[in-house]
Amino acid sequence: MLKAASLAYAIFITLIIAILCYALLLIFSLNNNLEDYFTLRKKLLIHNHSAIAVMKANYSTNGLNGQQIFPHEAAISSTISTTTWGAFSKCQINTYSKKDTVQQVYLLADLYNKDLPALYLRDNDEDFKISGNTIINGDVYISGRGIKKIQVSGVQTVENPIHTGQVFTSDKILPRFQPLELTYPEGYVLMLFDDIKTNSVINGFDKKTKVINVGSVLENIQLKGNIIIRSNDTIQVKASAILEDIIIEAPKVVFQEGFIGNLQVFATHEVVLDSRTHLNYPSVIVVGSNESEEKNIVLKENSVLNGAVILYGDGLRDESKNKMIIEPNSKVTGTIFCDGVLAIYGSVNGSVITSSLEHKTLTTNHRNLILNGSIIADKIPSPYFQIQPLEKYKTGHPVILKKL
Amino acid sequence: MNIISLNSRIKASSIVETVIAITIIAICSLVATLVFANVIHSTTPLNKYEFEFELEKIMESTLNNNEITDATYKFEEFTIQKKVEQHSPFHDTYKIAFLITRGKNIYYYELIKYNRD
Repeated sequence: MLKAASLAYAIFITLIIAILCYALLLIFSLNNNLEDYFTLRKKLLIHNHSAIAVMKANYSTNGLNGQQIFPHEAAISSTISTTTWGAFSKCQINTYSKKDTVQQVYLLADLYNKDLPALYLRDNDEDFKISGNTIINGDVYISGRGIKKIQVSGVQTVENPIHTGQVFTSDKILPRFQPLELTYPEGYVLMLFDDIKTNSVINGFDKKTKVINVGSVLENIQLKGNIIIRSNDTIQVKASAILEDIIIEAPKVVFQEGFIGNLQVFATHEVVLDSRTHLNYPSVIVVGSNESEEKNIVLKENSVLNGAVILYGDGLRDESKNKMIIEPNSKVTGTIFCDGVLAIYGSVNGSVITSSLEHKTLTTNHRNLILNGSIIADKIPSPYFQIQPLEKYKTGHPVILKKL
Repeated sequence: MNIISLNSRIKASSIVETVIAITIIAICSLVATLVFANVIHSTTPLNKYEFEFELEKIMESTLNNNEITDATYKFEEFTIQKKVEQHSPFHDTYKIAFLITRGKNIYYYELIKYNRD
């Protein structure tokens, strides 16, 4: 028999309505919390952006390293910590409010000075000569003897060397270059190459640096981020290796044909870029030590490097031992510093600072000659970074190379 | 036919019981309507998202196009005021304040810009 129970039904309906109302309030409160969270996050990001601006403004005074900024702001403040990452500065900015933190890591370097000379050749008491279809576009610092256009006997080429720009007198001594020595970050994790079980290691810059001791060959592996690869012997980097943002430290490093990547190399003896090798922006090659040993950098045909190439040592004592060769059709965009003998057969978009130049043919060796090479100072993307020792051209301003 | 009519006899509720039930449901519906209305009223209006979007555009334009001047941007339901001044504690920087007025609500955002960017 169906029972009449209006009161029971009414209470039942009330219960259902109460549950619905509670659910509605819960969703509303969740929505509000989410909105507050996103608003706070937006504010933290804006603060973080402001912290970067402040850090850039104080770049020449170490970017307020370790300081807390905006402490006066209600509930939100930022801290900046700057360390080195090879030839660059690594800047970590944390902005926090109570338990929420926004962290961003940037790679910085000195901003490229558009007024940099195309060529700074130490005054080595010899003429500076250009020949063939050499193009030098920009100011040059050379010995007081000026530029001479010559014809090289035995070389068949179009004779139309061009220089546009002013000529200044250089010093007898090349500007001192602050040796670029690789400093290891505190508390790094040391690993052996055999410890890597996968063929990909990606280590964020907010984590501890991984220092991996490797054998002689790097192939079929992806290494990305906060990683330093080191070896006591020559490292051969094959085209199958994918390297991004890492640092390689070894006495000699050879990039084999077809390799493409972006990294920094610190070697004591030699770096060779085989043909069709591409080191993308921002890459740096440093070969240097104060030992009186041979040091070489060779960029073979059709290789490309976007960044900086540095060869340092005691150029006055060991000029003939320090050699850099930029072969035909190879291209460097950025700055070149060579405290030794530089042979330019390819092209440079940027600035060259060298102790001396040479051009070798099968039979002769011409000093201070550029034949069929080019240096174009103003053909450089903006913004770009520079690593160079000329005080006059230091900008003191930073450029963000990459957000890590 | 007789069996069905005997077994389906319904016992009616008393008038008092019915009145109480109707009252409870009425009160409950009223409370539910009030809660619903409040929730709907308190939800973020669409134009807040609109002003956030416009603010973001103005900030980006200020940073990327070096628009370092005071300006007022008027929209249908809100106004964004941009005020620029030198940021005194740190050289080479500007402080850019954004004041958004939306009805009775006022929002404030602050941004620092490096003047060589």
